[in-house]
Amino acid sequence: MSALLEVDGLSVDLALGSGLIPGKRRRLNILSDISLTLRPGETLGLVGESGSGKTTLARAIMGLQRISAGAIRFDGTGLDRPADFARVRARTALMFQDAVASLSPRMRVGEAICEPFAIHRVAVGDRDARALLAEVGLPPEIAARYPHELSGGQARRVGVARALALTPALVIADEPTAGLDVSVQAEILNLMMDLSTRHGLAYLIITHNLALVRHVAHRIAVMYLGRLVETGPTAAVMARPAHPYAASLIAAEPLPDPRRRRHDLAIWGEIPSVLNRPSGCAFHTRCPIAEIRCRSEAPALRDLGHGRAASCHFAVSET
Amino acid sequence: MTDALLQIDDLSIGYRVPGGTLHALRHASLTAHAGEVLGIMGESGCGKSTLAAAMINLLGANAAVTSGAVRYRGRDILTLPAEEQRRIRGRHIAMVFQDPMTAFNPVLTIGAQLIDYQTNARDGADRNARALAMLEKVGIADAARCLRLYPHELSGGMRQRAAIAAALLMQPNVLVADEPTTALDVTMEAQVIHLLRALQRDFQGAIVVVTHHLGVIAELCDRVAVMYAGEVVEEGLVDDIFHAPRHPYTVALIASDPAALAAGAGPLPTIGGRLPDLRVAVAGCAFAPRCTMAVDRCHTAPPPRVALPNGQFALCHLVTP
Amino acid sequence: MSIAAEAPRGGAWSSLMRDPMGLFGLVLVLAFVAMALFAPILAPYDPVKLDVMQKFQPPSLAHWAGTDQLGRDLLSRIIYGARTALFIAITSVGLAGAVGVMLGMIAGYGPRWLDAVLVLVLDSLSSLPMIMFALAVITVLGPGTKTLILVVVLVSIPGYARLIRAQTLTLAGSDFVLAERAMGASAPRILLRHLLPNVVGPLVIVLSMDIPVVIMLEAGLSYLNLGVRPPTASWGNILYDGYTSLRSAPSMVVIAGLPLVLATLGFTFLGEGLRDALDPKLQARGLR
Repeated sequence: MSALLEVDGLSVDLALGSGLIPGKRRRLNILSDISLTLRPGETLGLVGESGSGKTTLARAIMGLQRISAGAIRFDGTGLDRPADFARVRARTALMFQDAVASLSPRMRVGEAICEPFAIHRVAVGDRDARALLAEVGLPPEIAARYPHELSGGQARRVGVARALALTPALVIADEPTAGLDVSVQAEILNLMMDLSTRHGLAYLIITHNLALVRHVAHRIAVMYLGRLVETGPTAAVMARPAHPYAASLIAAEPLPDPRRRRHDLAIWGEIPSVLNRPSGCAFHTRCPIAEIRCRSEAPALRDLGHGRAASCHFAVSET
Repeated sequence: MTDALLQIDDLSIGYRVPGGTLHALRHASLTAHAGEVLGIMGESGCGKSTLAAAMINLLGANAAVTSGAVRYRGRDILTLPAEEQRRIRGRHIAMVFQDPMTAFNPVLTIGAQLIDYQTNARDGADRNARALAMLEKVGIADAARCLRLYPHELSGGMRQRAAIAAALLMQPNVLVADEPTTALDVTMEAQVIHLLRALQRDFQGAIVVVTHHLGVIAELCDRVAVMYAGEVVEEGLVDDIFHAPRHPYTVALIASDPAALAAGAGPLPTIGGRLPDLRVAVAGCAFAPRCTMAVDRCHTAPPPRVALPNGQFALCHLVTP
Repeated sequence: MSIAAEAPRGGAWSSLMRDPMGLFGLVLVLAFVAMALFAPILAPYDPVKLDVMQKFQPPSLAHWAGTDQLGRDLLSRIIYGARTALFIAITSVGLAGAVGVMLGMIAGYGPRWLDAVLVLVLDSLSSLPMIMFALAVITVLGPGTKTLILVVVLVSIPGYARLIRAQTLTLAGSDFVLAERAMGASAPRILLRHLLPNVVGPLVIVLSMDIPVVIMLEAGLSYLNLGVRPPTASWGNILYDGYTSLRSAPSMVVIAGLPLVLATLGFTFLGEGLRDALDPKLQARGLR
């Protein structure tokens, strides 16, 4: 099965300074050499904490952020210029972390959901606002409300409804469960997975919530300070993480079981600022197994077999 | 059983809103004992924030206490004169907020504020020394440098630690932490949980943690109170709550947490329905409309507080010891 | 946090209804608007009709406000004066507002270089002191209604444009705009359907507060004989006539000044009321 989305060596640098003074402006590296693939109907969990660049990556894939290097291909077509992205807009959708803020404040929900139709001049037909709302489990009265009148869970569902309006092939969801109560998280997850099965959607889910990833993602990609540190099938990575950061992330997760309390601290220290990127391997400042080599030599993402890869000098291949 | 430091006694609080009163807390009763960590667990709208505000006596202007009391060492702090309340707040009962950014004055350095908080030290040098020691105790490397920084110059994790240090400097008897890790990354969350656990070992007083995150409760607390729609629906030892929950809401809540389930186990269990409108007086059990086990009695009669072994309580018609 | 997170107009309207000062202002404004619109019906006499025999009549049943130095009925002149005042104020403020919105949105949402150019132009324009500029233009083009409107428009545009630009800049980076771009919305669509409704709110308040300023300006310039040319009825003209006739009919000045004060008060109260009604923070506190 050919890939739906291919990201190849993507890098994003931001220019610092106002640009009024002539000369080379300082560049801040946000993402470096990100490569991943997503097949139709597959769910990839992109995991990372603050400073990992995951939101920037989502925006770059959607063409909302200019990239400094690398290539993006959607369904075989290269996406290099804004015009290329414009052509595939109807087949991709982005769900935002702050669901209420992603809706136009003075537009009623019904109109907001039908925006994709209006933008691409597609007739609404059967899949009108009512039908879309019903598909995400919301009553038709919601269509008359304004975004600030919705609860977090409702706004999230409206976001899903809008994303699905034109039945896209790929949905990128940025922290779909952030700020939601546990029971509401479960509802949203079930909804997303159900829709994925029904419409054959591929999801790129960006989150720091490992429980979510464990439950819905086929594959996982872990990011740290703008670099991919580990990729692979979810179950395998969760059970036997190859990269120390992935391992500490999994170990740090507080579990809802008092009998499985962590007694040792899995990780210490703060995530370094992107402005002060550590030399060599970015994780060496907090890594329990770091050696001198790690301070000077940045490891490359190495293939470990069985669809797994990790960027650590000491990652063991799966044979 | 060690002494009860803070006792919430049949507390009911309503907010004046356009269209009536929002009954945020309805006859809630709880006790925090010295030397233990009490967790208050619940989702949005359960009243836990109101309860936390009541504990530190910082309720909003439109809040009205319609019944009950908040007793600190036997005295109802809600009825004390303002001067007394101020004395207790911070000195005896201290709070750590969810957003550490708002806990600090942005135009003063951390050092200035930590020193300012202390009204029980001997002199300036002593205050400085104590502030330094406390920052180190909460795990801030290079505490001396931290004293000279402004709040916005610290990372989120450091700010939260500094906020905990500030709360502990006054040597309070009750420390209330309202969503202490919600604004933090997973790795920082783990460190703050670890810190709170370590502090508790030396801390003689009571720690109350208010949060919706089941994992934090499980990692940190000795006893747990589960809240729903303004009531405490279940209370007990943390192990009993997570492994032998008796109230249907607690059962459903724990079952719906994605973190509790094995991977790829199909759709997650959910709790159908919505929170009741708290502006309307509730007849019967507040959870009945969403409860899979509800019988007729549940919709008409308020549920009794059933005492179970091990100090566990459940507010339900269908629970028997 | 979003500056544009305002309640929909329904909510704002009911808030305004509850505010006594705003309501009072609204009533006054509506009264003057009615006066301006229905002047031919309301005015008992023709405002420019001379009747020198009747000059300087005190208020009486025949002439409720008396007559001026040329025997013209003052009440009719005041009623028609409302027409002049409102026409000039609303036209100039409206025109300036429209241009200001366009320029502000283009500066806020368009390419950086265009923004830099526009900001330069707007800053230069706004550094001209209003009165001096007004006098200069009037000297060149001659006094009259059209000149006055032109002056007010040119002087007001930079302020409005800057306000809209600031709002637009803030909103341009917000999630909902990004969401629209992610869906493939074109820039005109985003500007018109999503940014415009969210940036005009604060501007409406400023515009309503500027209307009394323009009314005063017109009155002042007409008083200096640099504004509306006689015999057209204008509150400023009447004030001038009142000043020159101070010894003969002292009440004229008061009669001329009263509508000015009331109109200014009305628009100011309405503006304040609108601001309070549209302020999302006050709204939220009321709901809590």
